[in-house]
Amino acid sequence: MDKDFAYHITFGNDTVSDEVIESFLRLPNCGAEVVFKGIIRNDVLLDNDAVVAIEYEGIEGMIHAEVETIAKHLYQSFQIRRFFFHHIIGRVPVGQPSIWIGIAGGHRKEVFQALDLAMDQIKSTVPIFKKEMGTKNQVWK
Amino acid sequence: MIVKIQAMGILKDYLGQLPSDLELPENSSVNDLLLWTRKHPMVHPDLPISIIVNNQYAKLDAALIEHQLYFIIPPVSGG
Repeated sequence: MDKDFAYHITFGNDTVSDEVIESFLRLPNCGAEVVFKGIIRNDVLLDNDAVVAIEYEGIEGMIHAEVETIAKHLYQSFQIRRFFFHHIIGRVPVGQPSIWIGIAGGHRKEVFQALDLAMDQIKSTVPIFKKEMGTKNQVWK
Repeated sequence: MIVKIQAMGILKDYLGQLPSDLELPENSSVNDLLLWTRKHPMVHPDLPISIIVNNQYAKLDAALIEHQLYFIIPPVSGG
């Protein structure tokens, strides 16, 4: 495994700053960095009731292990050198991010591909669950 | 045999108040726990359900372990 390869995996109530992500991703031999933020949308729930927030819960003992597996798979597939993951567990209002993914690698093509695959895998294996909260309705997704 | 169970996501609403200790026949498997879950009238037969034990997805033919905690989960929905 490349000595430069490293990953950062956190979750909880706190948000994370752009500076923290950039500081982790930046390497002199990486020409490409991508940062993705998933933002809560005000989708319509039922009866014209719009989402005002999403509440997330998870199996916290398992989140780290599943994301670590994804990070190592991305390294094997795309030779990325940095992988950053942070997810809110708790309530996130509309317009605010619930997830931050950062990836650094040699060139843009592999980091874009790695980002796409990372999100697909996070949404299929990492044990996090969300409930959309409206003013009158609540819907598990 | 006795196992501990915890539902996550929409399965918390479907299954309601769960017993802290669930009694199943001796030598039950993960699949038996899955079948117990699916017997609940609120659980749609098409809902994919997984069982988590020791922070890993459990295999259906694995034997349940006395007093072990098992998470019963719907499809994940993070991000």
